[in-house]
Amino acid sequence: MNPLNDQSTPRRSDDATAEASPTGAVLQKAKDSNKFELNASAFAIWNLCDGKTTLAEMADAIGVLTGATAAETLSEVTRTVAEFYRVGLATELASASNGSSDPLPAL
Amino acid sequence: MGLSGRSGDLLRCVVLADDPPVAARLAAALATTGSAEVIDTAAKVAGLNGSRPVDLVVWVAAGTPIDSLPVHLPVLGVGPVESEAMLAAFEAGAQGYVDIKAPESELVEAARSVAAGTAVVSPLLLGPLLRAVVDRRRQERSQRSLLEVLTRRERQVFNLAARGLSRSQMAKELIISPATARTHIQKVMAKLDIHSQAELVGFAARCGLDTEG
Repeated sequence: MNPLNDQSTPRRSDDATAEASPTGAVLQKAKDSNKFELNASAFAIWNLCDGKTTLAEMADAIGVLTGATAAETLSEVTRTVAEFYRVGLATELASASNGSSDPLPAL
Repeated sequence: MGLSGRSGDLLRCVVLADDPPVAARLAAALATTGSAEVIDTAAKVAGLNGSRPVDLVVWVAAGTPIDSLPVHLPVLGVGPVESEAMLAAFEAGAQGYVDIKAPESELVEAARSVAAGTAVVSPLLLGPLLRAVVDRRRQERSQRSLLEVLTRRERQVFNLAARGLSRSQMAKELIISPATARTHIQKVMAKLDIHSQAELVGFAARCGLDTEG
């Protein structure tokens, strides 16, 4: 798998469904019924994983809202998406498991 | 229990809304734990700032203009769950945003956080808001790419015109003659298919460029 960089365009897993919680959301994968509790920021990043939004764009948007520097937000976004990759909540568009190359619509 | 302001006293909230029933409802919700005062114009906010310090402005987005608010006041936007309204609130200087239909407890909690200097967006609103920011930035980049047809000097003229400078002011700023400035601005407008300075200012704003004088 290619390492993440600021031009990576992660795509959230079709296999996961989201249910809102008071602090963010709980994602559940249909395949293995694993549940993941995401805070609001992580859930928002997961929603941006549509296969066409780069990590740099995500970081930039968060910086606009929080006033944080691009370096700070990119580091946080990269860490979060890397964790999504690790647990199977997102993948690189080119290597999507279902073979589809279509980006996901925004949630 | 009361809300704690910067001085440790009860939080002084001003609800800025042009719809009296909405303002009254928000003020009542805030008054359950702090102090709130309903006014209907930005000028009155400025007037309150001297003798009666304000800790927080609760601003109903898409209602009363926020432009003339004292910039140092924390602002909590309240409005519909629409990405454009949320984005407009943040661009206007709000540090937080709450759904206008949110429970009172959520409004009060957000007011407390924003007054304490913490940015607040409810979890369900953060995703759509970030998406709106991403889309807006893409539009700005796309619009800015159109400026690549301009020469370096034309770009300088464009930037000055976007800030509302007259031809003579541009000439003075760039140390060129007014006639040369006029020629540059004509070329800029022709290249960008723009027909007035007002249109140019709008173009610059869509590029995300500073149009303040």
